[in-house]
Amino acid sequence: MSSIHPEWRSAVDTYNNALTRRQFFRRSGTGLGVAALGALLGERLAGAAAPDGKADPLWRIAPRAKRAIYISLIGAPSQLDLFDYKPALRPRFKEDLKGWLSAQGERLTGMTSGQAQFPLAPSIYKFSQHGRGGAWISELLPWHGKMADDLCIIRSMQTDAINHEPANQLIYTGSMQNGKASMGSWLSYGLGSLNQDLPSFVVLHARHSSPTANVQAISARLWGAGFLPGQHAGVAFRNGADPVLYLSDAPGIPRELRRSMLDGLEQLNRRSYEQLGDPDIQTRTQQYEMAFRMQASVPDLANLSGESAATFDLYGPDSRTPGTFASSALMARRLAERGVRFVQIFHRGWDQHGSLPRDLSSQCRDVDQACYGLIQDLKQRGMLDDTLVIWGGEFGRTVYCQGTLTETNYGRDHHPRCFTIWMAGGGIRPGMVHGETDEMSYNVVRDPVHVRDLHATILHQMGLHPERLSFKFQGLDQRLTGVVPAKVVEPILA
Amino acid sequence: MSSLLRLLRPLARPPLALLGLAALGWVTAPAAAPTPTAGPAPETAGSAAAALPTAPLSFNDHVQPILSENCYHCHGPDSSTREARLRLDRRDDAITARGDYDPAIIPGNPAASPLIERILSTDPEEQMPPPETHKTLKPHEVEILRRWIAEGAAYQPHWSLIAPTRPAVPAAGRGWARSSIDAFIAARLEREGLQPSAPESPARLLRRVTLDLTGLPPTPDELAAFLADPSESAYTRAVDRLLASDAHAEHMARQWLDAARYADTHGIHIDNYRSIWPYRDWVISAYKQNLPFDQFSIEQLAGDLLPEPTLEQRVATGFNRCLPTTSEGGAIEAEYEAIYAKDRVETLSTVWLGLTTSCAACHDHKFDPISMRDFYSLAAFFRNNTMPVMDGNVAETHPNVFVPVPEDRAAWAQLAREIDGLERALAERRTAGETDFARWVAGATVTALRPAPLDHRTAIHLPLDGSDGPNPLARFAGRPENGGATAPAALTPAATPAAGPFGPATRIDGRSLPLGRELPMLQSSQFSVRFLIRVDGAPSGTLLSARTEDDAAPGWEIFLEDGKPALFISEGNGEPAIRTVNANPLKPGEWHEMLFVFDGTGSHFRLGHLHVSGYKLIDTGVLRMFRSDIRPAAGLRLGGRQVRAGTDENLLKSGAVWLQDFRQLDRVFSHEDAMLESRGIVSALTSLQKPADQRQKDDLKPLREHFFSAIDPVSRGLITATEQLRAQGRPMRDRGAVSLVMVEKSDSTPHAHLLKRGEYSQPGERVEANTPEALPPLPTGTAANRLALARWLFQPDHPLTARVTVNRTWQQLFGTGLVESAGDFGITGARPSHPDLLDWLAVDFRESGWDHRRLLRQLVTTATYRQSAAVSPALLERDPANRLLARGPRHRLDAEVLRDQALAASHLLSRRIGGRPVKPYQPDSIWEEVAMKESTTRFYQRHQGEALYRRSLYTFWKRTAPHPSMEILNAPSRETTCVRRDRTNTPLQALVVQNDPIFVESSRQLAAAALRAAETFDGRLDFITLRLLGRPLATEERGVVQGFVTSARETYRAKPALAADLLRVGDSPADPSLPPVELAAWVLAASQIMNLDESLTK
Repeated sequence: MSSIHPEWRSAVDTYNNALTRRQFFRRSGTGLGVAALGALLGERLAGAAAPDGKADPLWRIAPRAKRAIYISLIGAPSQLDLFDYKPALRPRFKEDLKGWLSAQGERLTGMTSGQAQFPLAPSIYKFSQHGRGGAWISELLPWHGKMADDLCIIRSMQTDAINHEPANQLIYTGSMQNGKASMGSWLSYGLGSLNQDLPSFVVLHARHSSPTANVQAISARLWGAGFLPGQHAGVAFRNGADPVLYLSDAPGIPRELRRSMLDGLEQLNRRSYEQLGDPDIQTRTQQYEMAFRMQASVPDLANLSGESAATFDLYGPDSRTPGTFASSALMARRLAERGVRFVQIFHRGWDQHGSLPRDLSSQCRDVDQACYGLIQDLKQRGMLDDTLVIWGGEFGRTVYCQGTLTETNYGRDHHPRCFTIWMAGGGIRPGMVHGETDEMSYNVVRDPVHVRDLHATILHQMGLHPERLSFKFQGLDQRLTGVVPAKVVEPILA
Repeated sequence: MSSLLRLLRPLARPPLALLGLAALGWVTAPAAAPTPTAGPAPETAGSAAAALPTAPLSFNDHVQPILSENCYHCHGPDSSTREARLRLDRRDDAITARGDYDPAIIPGNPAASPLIERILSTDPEEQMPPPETHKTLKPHEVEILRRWIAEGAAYQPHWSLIAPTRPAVPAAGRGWARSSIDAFIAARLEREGLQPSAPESPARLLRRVTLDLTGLPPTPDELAAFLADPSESAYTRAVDRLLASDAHAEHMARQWLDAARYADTHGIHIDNYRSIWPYRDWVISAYKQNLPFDQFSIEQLAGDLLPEPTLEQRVATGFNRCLPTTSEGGAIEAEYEAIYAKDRVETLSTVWLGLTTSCAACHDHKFDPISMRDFYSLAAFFRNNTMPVMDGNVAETHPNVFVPVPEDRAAWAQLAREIDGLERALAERRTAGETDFARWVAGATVTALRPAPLDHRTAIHLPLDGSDGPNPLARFAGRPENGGATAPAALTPAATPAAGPFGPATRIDGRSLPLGRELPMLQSSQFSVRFLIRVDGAPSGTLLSARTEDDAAPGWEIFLEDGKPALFISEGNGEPAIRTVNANPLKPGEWHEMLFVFDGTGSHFRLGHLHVSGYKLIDTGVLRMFRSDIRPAAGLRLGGRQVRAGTDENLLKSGAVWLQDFRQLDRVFSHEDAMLESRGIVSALTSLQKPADQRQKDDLKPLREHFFSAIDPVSRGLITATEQLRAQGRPMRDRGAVSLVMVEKSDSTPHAHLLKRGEYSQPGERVEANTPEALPPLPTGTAANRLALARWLFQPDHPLTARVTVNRTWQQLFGTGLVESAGDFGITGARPSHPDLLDWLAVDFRESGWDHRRLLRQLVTTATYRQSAAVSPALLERDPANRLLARGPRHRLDAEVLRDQALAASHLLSRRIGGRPVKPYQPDSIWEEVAMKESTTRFYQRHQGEALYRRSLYTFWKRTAPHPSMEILNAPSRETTCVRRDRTNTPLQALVVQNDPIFVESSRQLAAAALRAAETFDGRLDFITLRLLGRPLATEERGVVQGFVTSARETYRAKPALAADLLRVGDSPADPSLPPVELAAWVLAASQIMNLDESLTK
């Protein structure tokens, strides 16, 4: 039990001991109830009725969403070519922004700071207005246009980091420093699981289809538990035979033999427990049982063959190919349906320093229809109301061109001062656009939303008090939102 | 074996019922129902209201926990968040009036003290802590404050900042205690009304101590020897044997490497391989020698600053180089410089000081007396070294040292001495040969400037000076690297002859001369091309190409456009080709030296640089990151690209081009060398063309260079001899490895700037290197550098180092430290469960000369350690985390120990020590899923044979994707220092031990060995359990396994194909002499035993 938050340890121990005395000798090898299992796992943090009748933790507030799906576009999609429409820039094609930029005083990355010129690169894409809110959406995302009324587009996101590593860490762990807990692990820690057969935080890695895309590295720290107990780390589901590592039994071990092996294991462990009295022995037995159940539940989850043709059509043709973004989106719905608290889909290849038209269009094709499919599917199943969906990258891209600018080709460097994300479902106001940038899509001029405000909003919608949800580490109350005060973005709440 | 079984048999009695244990008397008499006051809660001492002493309250024990939890955030050390100018962490501030404010505390008069008044107030405006903090003091806490003020409000420094003195050993535990340590434990147990547990059974004890000290299980022979010897000294002899073993050194090193955040990759962004494993091997050897802990620490922190450091001491400084580093394109140096310094301060603080200083990077510490100034003064120690901020994504980022394998040490040193001697001789010759040089230069003509000699890295050399004859390639024809090129077309005879430096130069006219070589731009390739060039007019056309006329096909080319040097590179992957032209043309009528360098290895960008006469004109790095390997569609050609027959589109236009002394080298030049190289001959020529009496000192430099490298026979002889020695050393170089080390800057003193809010871009006041104010000062008169810092840790008056170290060692053995927060001895850290014992151990450790092995020996020979781990429900309720130690330690084994135990039990384990990291089995695509295309750790290619069975500390550690089984079993990511591993219990862990091929293969080999060793069911089972559990199973347990083996046998008999599948898991061969069905059934039995809680737990 050493991994349980100290505040809960005594309660869990008390419960364990009660279990020990009253139930253990009466229980069969496999008959542990889910409630008992939850307690053993420390998952009473979920706030379900506690065996000792303790009230909900202080950090719980009324939730608007039960679960969340975060679509993480690694590399940072260009807001200028997708959502942040700047028609006035067209005539200013190739205007050198060198003087203007130095007046802004912004740091530039080492990749463009040496450029002699900073030619303005207007987007070459057509934009049109969609939905009742009249949101401008680029022709690269036609399916997004169709669902504009479901989305809340935030054009005024801001971050502190100018390069991928620190920016990804900031947006997915709340800090540019190593060793912090990821967003999903915070949700798992704060809310616990809704399904005893699956982890509460699942990560999906979706393939990008463009062979030329500029691909950034990601690392387990983006979904790690940091200082939180290890069981809250995201579990990366994989494509192929073993969606969870080591899930399949070794070749030559049929299911019935695994079952009888575990029955024997239980008997032998029980005998150890009788001799030694260590409650960790019972916990271990339960974990072996849960592993056994996962061996059945996870392949069932990963087996998409039961999905209807209509569903596949909704997500698009790629959804039949494992590992694609579309297939991952469908998998995300299946996970959400089964009570996984937080599903994070990582899709790489959005770093368009050069050849943006060629690569961005391909990246958009990967995700456009599938995102539409996911939102519609959730809606059709009545799940959108309590499922929060977030879509976006780690920062924005520059209005000036990196490399050579031609009529048809350009690239864009990193830009932390503004970028666009969207949110849907989970108590977020649909069909709205929040925030505004200046004529260059350079600075936010209305309703800035810092990354920590996004974190506060996500926690808030999930029923967690952004400031009270904390964990003592290194002498500090660590929070996802960090030390600078964060605010819930009230205007976007439904 | 049979005697061992006899020894063990009596232990295999039926299980004791829990009630029975109580009857044995090791559980306290039916204790009074636990009250909140009697609980073992050392971390919540403040809540123990009823346990308050009648004597004056202790500030540290009673008062400070309340103040720090409720008040310090706004009234503590951090000046930036301080409210009402009130500080409650210092007595003078708390009892003094501040302007209009009354003193918060009036000693002796709680009723008049605003502190109490405000706490008791119900007015939300007045109330403290303010309602929005959601903090309320409990009545007994208020009572403590009241009494403390009444008693005079005495303060104390935080306990861990008071240097420990050796406390008296309590008179407790008579009849049980084996040492002073036990007396301290017994005294607390007596106070709590508890009794220690019975001794652990000898077999279990030997397993516990063997796993704790070596990370491996005892062998049956070791077990037998131990059980056969009932004498008192048998245990201490076993302990000494274990402490002296190699396995012990490896096991200790493995744990230290968590603290050192050791890994085999850079960690940030591209996460390439990093060569630093000799440091890991140094740690092993340090433990093997039982290097005193002070020396062990000083060498790692500052070995480079010791007088005349040995190679080992320099390798030890790799500790400072283990941190994650970056070379991300666009990363800002100042930012990472600050991050690195912070990481190093954090590591030092956590590992030696047990303080969490990182908060003070942005603001004064909220609770501990660590100011921002303290933090940056510490950071200063680590900001004065020569490591580049950008690691270049190379494996051997400097500074580094070459570390030969032990067998080569002597020969390597000898070689190094000889090379050194030759280099000295060369330097001497350059002085002594000055008159020869003067004589030569007086008579030197242009033709005397023969080109620099060829070395073994010159792949192609075309003098193009008329000596080549009609076929300049003839002398290279037939060399294998030229692809057997023969008789290429002759170059055009000079229509307009031009005198080159070395004779009549060759004119090129755009027709193509194949050089018989492919020259791809790969991630692994390094090459350069160098030639002299002269133009007339402003010609356009190809100089050197490896491409066809198709711009979209992969290839590259150096060409001229209107006389301007230009470069073309096409990746052939659909990305538009790069075509870049320098702004200025070559000056006609003069000779220039052109150098093109390509380096695919040094960076995640493949880089190409074009230099002309000492200037870098084109740098592909600023143009584009080349991500793909470029394998040109055509071979290397001089003078024109490969075109369809009959076309002349590449003929040179608008001028003439002459070339001379063309070389293609399989090497690169550093930026500086490239500048020198590309102006060598040209500047020598320029100098030579001046009349002798007008030559300045600088004019002679290139001539002198040329004379000593190409003309003077004495120095040429020395150079050749050096080259030969280097060539001899190459095999040694391949066997050994480079290790990253620390080197101090010699031309500056350590300093840093306070960074406002911790932001690198907001530097404030400059501070010099210094230790925190709240700790003892550096001795006067010492230069404040890393060495001084390292030595300061071991000053006798240092309050922290010894405590923190003994605590971590305690934690290794007992699962939890005496201070639970092993990395935080600060105010918000846990308080010690046994403060006197901690101090006694700390002083004893220091006075022993920091003898770590002695400390371990002391701890494992205590009666405390040797207790049974069995626990009654009553004791469990009293002390669930075993902080009082009324029972022996019991917890799950670390990831590495679990794997090593399986390998050892099945005799698969390789006992080789040290060397390059190995890549055992790992599920597919773990690396690819996260890696960048350019990363050298993108594809995991697992090793074969012995490398699969090395101890786990040798497994390749990729920071962004550590080995998944290790990660699932709570190995840290090694991204930051870690002094305390998490220990969870999850279903994913159950899947690892059941299904990771290494565990299945170990079960298979263990079962095979059991089948070979014994005929009977019992004999086979004993064989397995002795190796994994250190005991035979009891009758009842045997029945369970027997039932399982029987059903497995039936299944496999019915489906033999399944058995064959199971026996194929893992690379090691199956024993064909064993019946597959029987073997498969036993494989499962072995796996079942391996998965028992008892196997997984010590």
